[in-house]
Amino acid sequence: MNRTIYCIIKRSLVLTLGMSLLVSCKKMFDIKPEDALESKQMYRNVYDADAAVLGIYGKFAGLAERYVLLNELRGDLLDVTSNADTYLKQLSTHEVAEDNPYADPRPFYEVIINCNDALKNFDIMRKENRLDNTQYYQRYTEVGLLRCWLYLQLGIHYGSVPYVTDPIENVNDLKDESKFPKLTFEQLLDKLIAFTDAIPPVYLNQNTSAASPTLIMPMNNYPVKDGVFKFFIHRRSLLGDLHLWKGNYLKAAEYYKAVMETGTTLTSSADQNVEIYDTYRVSNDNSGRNTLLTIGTVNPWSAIFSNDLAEKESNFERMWILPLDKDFAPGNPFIKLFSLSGNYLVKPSELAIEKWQDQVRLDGGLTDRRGQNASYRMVGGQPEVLKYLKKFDPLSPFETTGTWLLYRAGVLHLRFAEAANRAGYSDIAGILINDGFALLGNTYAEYPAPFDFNAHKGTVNGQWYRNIGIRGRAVNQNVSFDAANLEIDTENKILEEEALETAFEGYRWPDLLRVALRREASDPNFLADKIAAKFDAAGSPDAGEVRTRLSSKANWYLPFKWK
Amino acid sequence: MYILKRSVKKLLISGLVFSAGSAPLLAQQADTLERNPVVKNAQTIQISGTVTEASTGRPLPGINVTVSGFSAALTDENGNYKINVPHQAGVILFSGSGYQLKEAALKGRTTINMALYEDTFSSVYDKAALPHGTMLKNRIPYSVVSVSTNGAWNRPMETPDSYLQGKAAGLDVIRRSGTSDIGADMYLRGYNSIYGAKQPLIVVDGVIYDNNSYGSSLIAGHQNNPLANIDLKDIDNITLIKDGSSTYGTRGGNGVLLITTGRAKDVATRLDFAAYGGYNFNISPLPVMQADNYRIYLSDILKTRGLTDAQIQAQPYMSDEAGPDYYTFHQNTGWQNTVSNSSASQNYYLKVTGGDDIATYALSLGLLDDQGIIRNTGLTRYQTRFNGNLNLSAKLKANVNLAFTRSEQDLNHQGLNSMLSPVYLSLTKAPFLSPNEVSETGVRSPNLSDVDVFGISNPAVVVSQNLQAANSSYRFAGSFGFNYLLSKKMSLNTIAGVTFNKVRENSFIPNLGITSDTLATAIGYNQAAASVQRLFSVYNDTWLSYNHNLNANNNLSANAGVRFNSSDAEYDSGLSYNTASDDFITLGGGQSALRTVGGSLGKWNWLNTYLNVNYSAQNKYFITFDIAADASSRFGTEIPDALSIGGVNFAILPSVAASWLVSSEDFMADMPFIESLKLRASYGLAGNDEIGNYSAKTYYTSQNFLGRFGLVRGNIGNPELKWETNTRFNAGIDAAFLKERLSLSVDFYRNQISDMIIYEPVYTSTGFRYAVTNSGGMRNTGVELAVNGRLLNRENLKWDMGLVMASNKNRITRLPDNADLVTDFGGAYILSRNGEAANLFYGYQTNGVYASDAEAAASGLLNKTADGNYVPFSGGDIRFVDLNHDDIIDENDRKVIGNPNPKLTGGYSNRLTYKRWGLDALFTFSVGNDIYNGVRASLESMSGVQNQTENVMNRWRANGQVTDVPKAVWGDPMRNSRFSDRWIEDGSYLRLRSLSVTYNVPLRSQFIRNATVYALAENLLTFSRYLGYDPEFNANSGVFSRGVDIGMNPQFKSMQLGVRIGL
Repeated sequence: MNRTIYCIIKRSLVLTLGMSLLVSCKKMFDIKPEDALESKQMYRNVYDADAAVLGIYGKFAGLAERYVLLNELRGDLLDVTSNADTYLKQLSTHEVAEDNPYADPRPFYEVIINCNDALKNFDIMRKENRLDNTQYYQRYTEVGLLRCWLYLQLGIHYGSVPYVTDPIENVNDLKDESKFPKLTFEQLLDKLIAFTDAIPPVYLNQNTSAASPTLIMPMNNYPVKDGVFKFFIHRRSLLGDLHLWKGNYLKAAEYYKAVMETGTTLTSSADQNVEIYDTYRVSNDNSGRNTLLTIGTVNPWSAIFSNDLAEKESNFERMWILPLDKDFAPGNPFIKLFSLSGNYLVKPSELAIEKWQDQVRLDGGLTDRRGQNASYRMVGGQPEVLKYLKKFDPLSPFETTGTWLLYRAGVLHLRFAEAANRAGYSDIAGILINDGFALLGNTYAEYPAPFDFNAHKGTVNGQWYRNIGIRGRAVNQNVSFDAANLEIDTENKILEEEALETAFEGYRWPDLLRVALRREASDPNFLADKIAAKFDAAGSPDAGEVRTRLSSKANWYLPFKWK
Repeated sequence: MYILKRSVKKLLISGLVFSAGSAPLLAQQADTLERNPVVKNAQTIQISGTVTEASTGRPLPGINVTVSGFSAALTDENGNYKINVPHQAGVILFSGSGYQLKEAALKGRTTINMALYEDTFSSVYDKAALPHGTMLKNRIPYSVVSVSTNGAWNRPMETPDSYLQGKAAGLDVIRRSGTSDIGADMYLRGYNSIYGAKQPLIVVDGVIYDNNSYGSSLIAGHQNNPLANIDLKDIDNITLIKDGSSTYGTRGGNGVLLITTGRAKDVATRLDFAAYGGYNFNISPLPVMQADNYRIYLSDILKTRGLTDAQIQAQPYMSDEAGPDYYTFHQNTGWQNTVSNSSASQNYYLKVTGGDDIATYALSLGLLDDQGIIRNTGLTRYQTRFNGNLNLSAKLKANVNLAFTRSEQDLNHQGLNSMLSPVYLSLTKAPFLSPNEVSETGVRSPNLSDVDVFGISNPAVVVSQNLQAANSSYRFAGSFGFNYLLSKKMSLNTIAGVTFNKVRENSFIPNLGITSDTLATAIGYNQAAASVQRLFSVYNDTWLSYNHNLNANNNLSANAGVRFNSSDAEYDSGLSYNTASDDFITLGGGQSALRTVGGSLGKWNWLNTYLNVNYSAQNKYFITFDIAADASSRFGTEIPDALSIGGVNFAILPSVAASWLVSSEDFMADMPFIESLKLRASYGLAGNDEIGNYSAKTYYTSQNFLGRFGLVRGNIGNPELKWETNTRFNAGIDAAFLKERLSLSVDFYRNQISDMIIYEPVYTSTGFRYAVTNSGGMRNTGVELAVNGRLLNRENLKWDMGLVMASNKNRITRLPDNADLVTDFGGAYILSRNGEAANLFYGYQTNGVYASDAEAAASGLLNKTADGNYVPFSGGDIRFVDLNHDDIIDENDRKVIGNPNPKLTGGYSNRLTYKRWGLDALFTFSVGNDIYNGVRASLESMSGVQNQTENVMNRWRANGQVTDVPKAVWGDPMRNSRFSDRWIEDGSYLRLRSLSVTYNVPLRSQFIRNATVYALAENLLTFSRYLGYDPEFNANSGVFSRGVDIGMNPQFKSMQLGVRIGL
């Protein structure tokens, strides 16, 4: 009997042991990865939020090559070389197959998915008071606007795209079709504008190290001042762009103008010099160095693309710029792409070169000084895009650090001009692209905002008294406008000026497409003619085919690979 | 002390009742039993008979004759015995030292004569080690193979995995390469997973043996083989459970390999010593061009590069004018012999066993030294093992196992297109160059040559001491087990083990003689690297055993327990470039800006609760039921339909197996030619938990942004991620005829793998390429056959012949969206398609070479080149077949051009003993598998300055020339050498895998117990049509690398002479 009891006790002991093992299970089977961060360990404090922002911009930097190729090679200023593969040729001739790696939308979504993830979690963090209002909005804006920028790019290139705003946390989210709504470009613009409208206007000012001391910090050899500050998206100019695409010209002009007048008399900001007469105003600061003018033996204008990040005058121009540092992934993809000592896959088109050569300078000579030896150069009879190569020396093949310039004052002024022209202020547009307000005193000071430009020079200078205009800065003669067809002609001239000023920087295809969409009813072959001109100028037999292809709007967009 | 001894005695008696031991102890105890018979039924039946030796017919005295739990007897000097049995349906067990164990069913008979074979005879009554003790094979209802190694004294250079080749039907064993100790990949019944584990679970002395390597090797093509840390001579028995038992739950999906290491068989002190010396034969070279033909080829290829005749003539290596470089470029070097050589091996082994009533021990020490056939490579392995058994009290037994192994190995890089692989370089290096610098007058300097004029490394440097590729590893595995007898029927058992494994690699690639690396920010002239792989694992298995004889002929036993395994793996690596000179070979000597570090960490826990019930009725009906409930840190948290306890999901995997020993039925009594006939069937689930440590979780990985670190999403987590389930059905027959002279075992199986892990493509707009999901399915069906026959059975001459073979058919049954999966490996494209085998070669079909430009033009075909252009073919290009008739040759013209899975694999063994002589021959074979000869593809691609095979001398050179070798064009722009049926070869082979001749030296000494002399050979003969070095290789254990020859170190012949002395 005793024996039996003894047995029972022992058995129950064993059972208890087994049960206790099971109870402590949960902990035992929830092991945190040590070389990755599990989702529940993320977004606990502001440093995690900063890490999310930095991660997103780190990934974003990898889009540089794709951005330039899609936006320029599809346009009329960049052409393929004989080294280019079929896929690049497809981009150029607008005959893109779905398997074309350059046309894969996935890299954009790789950044977008991280934006979605961050935005959702920022909301949660704010709710749980892990972020205060400023911390929240600064980061939310940084990430949210970047996502808008990415979607704008997707809309431009693919037309209809799935507008995913959910972070897709696990595979179950994949089964929910509603998380992948496919929107047309128009619908997409509405969504993007709705999103940006919800941001409190105070957070449309650029972020500063004072507002986000943990986020805006020196990086590698990039000090805060004039450097780090500009790594993040330029906020108001994006809003201007969205409205410009949408056709809200006044709204667009307002946003642009606000940026053009960023400059203040308080120039002691830790983050950046925003000098009242020069910052983003396309000015001549009368410094004797003739800042950014295309004069002199050393053409200062081209320094925009090669100067150090902290260089003062360049920062009057640069608005959003990312270094492509040789020491950090993804490095600089442009050397291989453009350089004759690299792969030399793309080159300036004949058309682009002709455009510069046809310009008349103030001194009466031909050829725009923004062309040869500034935007491109001839090496052994072969044209090479110089904007990305100026610092590169083939004899030091590993010194590849360069920059990816995403927004600058020149573009800003051209966009403002485009908006102003369509808003009924073609005269203002004309002045901005010609020689500016510098000599115009207060003629335009009383125009309704945002089209008012006070260039009075006297004891109290008008803020625009140094503005020399895009062509003025390029020391070119002014262009004249056809009064009979003023709006269209001005727009055409703006587009021409864009080609001269911003070639190869990644604006061309969107600019042409935007105008083409705007004129779809009146001039359906606008885009086809523009792009076909590239092939005509190069004497390529593809011209006719490309013209035919682009006569159909369906072919304006790349095929969207769904899986 | 007295009490202790008595209890030991008691324990032994009860132990005897439960197990069927074969030690001499049994005889002494048998008397005790007979004096105190456990009489349960007064109506006992007396059985009598004679036991004889099977080979001679001589009567055998002193053989134990027992009826389990009832009675026992010994045979007298005439081999006669008499024994009482309780029931007519019972069985009698015969055993004796030096003889096999054998069971006889009564079947209503009262006279049972028994012929016994020697103990090394392969029999249906062999013991097989199962997770909870040993069992006679004829009583096991599921499919097992038990391999008694008998010390494997005649296979000293094998690792346990390679030893199993040709031994077990259905276990396809492929040796990875010719590197020493590299071992083999074992696939039981085909691939049971695409991305998960594919190799059987290995359990050594009750403890799970982690056989994975954690982290990739710094040395290309190498992988660490943990199983090599077990010396084969330490192993007593290897049992492979193919099927039918789900006791190991989610880790048993690939079968279970139970390894039992040697213990003391009795208390007498015994010492075994063995020493071997061997010779490894250099491989025979492949036919590559010599200097004269190579130069002609070179000038042809340079011409297609756009060089003029004059420019080619001006090249230093083309000039026949006397000059300072004349001798540098006018050699004729057989490079293959500069990188490989014949070499020596040696092996020493010492084992001591012994003890007393309370404790027995077995201690072994070993040293292996094998130089391999690549120059300056070699392995030194030191190994120790201690196994002890302790009888602590009448009820408490303990055992301890400790093993420590240390290996130091100099390796070489392997693989195609490598600037470091001696095998590849030796085939492609220009033969007119010399390994050493040559003076103006043709005198050869001792200095090795630098990178050549083409920028190709010097193979002699790659195998010199200047290049370091060292691997040193150690593994400690220790376990301690208790067995406590709670009652006569019940015992509590536990075994706890720790494993610590560390693999350190050091690599240095010198500047001199090796092509430099172009890095992102600098030229890497030389490279120093180091890495450490570490595994720490804790294991415990605790279970309750119950064993109850319901009556004389019905037995119920059960085991219920918990296994827990916690593992922690770490991998760290560092890489630096440009040390001050080739004499500074440490990681710290490199340029700091070029230093990179990497690594990974992995931790996981696994819990397996199990219940095992065995029931045997009438000693002829056997049924086993197993069920396992597994939890793992790898499983998702939201698995639908899974059992969840306290938020933890469990995999419930049951299995049932039943067998019917037909031969024990009374009606079989009149069919004496049927010794044994068993029908069995099993059905059950097993799982595979190698689904990634953290794939179920959503996690973030670090992302640099100009030197600051951010975090980005690393994956799309899958909280529903679960184990792969293998639903296995098996039906089989085990039979023995003619008093076991002939025995055979046949199995049919069908393994359906569901919830198979797939990297499922997801929407582009997720930003990810794939999510890890359980969305695949696969099926393996097949037949296995094992036949053993004793052809000659005389006193002095015995001949055993064995054949095992298996045929497996693999089919994918489910893929997401039924989309084809095309994977590339080593230049080959591998197709996985629903309804087909998982890994088919998917390439272009060819039909000779266009004899002329006109003929090519007439075909009207356009070729899609690598950069996407469409170019017409011309004379001398390969005639690719336009399968879809769109006049374009592109990836849509690919088709299945080969299947790397063999139709039939197996082994054929012969064992001949004549007096004191023994001859063992094992043949292995593989039939019907295709190989992509990547080495040949590279050696006949004719695209650059690399030397090629002699076959390219038949290359197309002029219009009208009819040949099957295309023209030589720089860079091969038309991709004539693309993955096509040109490189697919029949990989079938038959190999004399091992041959041994042994001689037992007659001894008069009292001191020496026995002495044996061995003459051994491995890989002596290989019959194959394969054009590469050798048809057996496995670049990695993955599904997609099967049959893709990327130039691993080839297998080679070796011979050893050895002696074994027992004291």
